[in-house]
Amino acid sequence: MSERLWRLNTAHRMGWISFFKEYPPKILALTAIPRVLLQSAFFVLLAGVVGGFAAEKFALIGVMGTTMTIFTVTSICDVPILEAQSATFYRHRVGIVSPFAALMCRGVPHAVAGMCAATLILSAVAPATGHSGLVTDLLAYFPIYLLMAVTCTIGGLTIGVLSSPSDNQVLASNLYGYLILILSGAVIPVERLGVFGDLGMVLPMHHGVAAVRAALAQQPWAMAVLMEVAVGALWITLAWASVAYRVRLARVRGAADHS
Amino acid sequence: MRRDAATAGPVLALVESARIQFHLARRYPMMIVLNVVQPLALLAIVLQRTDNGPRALGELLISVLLTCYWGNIIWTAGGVLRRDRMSGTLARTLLNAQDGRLIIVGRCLGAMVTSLVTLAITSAAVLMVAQRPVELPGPAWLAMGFAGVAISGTALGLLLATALLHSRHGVEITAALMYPVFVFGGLLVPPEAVPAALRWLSWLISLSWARDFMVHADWLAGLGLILTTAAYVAIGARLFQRTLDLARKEGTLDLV
Repeated sequence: MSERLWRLNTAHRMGWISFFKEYPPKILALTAIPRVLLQSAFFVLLAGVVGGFAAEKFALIGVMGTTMTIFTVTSICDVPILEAQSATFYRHRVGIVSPFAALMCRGVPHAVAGMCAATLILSAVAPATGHSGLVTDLLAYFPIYLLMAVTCTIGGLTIGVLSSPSDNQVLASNLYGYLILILSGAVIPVERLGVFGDLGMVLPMHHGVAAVRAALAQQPWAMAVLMEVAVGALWITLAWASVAYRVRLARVRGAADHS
Repeated sequence: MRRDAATAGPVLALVESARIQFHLARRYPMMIVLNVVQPLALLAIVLQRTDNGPRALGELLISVLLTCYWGNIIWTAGGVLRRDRMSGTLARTLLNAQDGRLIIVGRCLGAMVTSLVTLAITSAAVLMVAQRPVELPGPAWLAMGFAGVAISGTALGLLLATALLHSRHGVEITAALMYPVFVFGGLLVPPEAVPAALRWLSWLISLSWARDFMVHADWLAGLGLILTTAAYVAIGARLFQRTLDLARKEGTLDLV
């Protein structure tokens, strides 16, 4: 293993350590897993109340993606915020691994947790709500959910970096999560969103969910996947620029961290 | 001249605590999430159905309000003492000239009234923009229902705020408490949509009784609201005493 890879792997391992500090196994089992199951069940059942069984099926496909935001948005936002609060960001600034690369590596557990959430929903919520028939179909398109977990994690990290100098990180991360839920077409069809649907096009999951729906309907879906990749590229650029901006601010202002 | 709350009567202490919480709540970011963002998202979903008559829409509106209000109970009122511990002011809240329970009840009441008013404003604004006619229960039923909901939320706040002091993972536990009530509370998801063996769970939730009281003008549901609230008060007060004992007598719980 090259030295650079070893350093990146160390940052990645740090990510797992801090993830399990936030979610020790007991807390993960007693709080996070029930939350994943019940949150997804709620939106699926609510869609059923509004539009019947077909709406439930429609929502299940989307909710498998949006429920990931528990990890890929809300909890990952805490990574840069904790660095700021603990005044440890300067260690990244003076380190060999760039702050951007270190934050990306530390985001890996959150993307993995997001995928575990999607797996849980598919294996438990889909059968419990009477959609067992969807399980094998959706399993085939799991790589698209993996892509969504990655794009969403990058987006969540960006929001965390941008909001970490202020007291508004809770508001920012929740707002971002709700924007994804409503504007991604996960529970509300995009055509009913009007002009807001266009705003959703630059958010993670919008094109990914559309790709899964198209694939299930035997329609072309490769372009939607490419669009999701493009949105991921947009957010990774934004993440890089926001970290670079924070580093520059810290240097210019002489602050030890980016708070 | 304003008397000092520590030496004045319990009523003034209650009012001052509510006033302090009102000012704190305005700076609490979750307030915007729970009272503006979440109701907007839920209303956007339920308003998709366009064939609802004014009465059905009124029922949905009350259900959305109470669903979001549950979030307020657990985050805003339930987090009162957890945030005090983070700020290092917990001991001052619990141990002063007035009974600590009175201070927490006042603060929870302040949080609950602030939440109800903000939720009502958000819902009214959405309905005005959506231009959908809505028929609400009579003003007397609404007034009694929301007064009951404010008291019940305060009682639950006392219970949860004290219970969450016993864990260092209060945020995660609070987040996990949100959706069980969303699903099994009989508010937006009707009881018949959940497995029959779990329908009784909604009987434990006072907001479910409050919904039936307001929507169906059902006095029996009103009795359910009173009984569940009384149970929350009894458990909350007992837990509070136990918590104080752990902190002061047995020394196994930190107040700072």
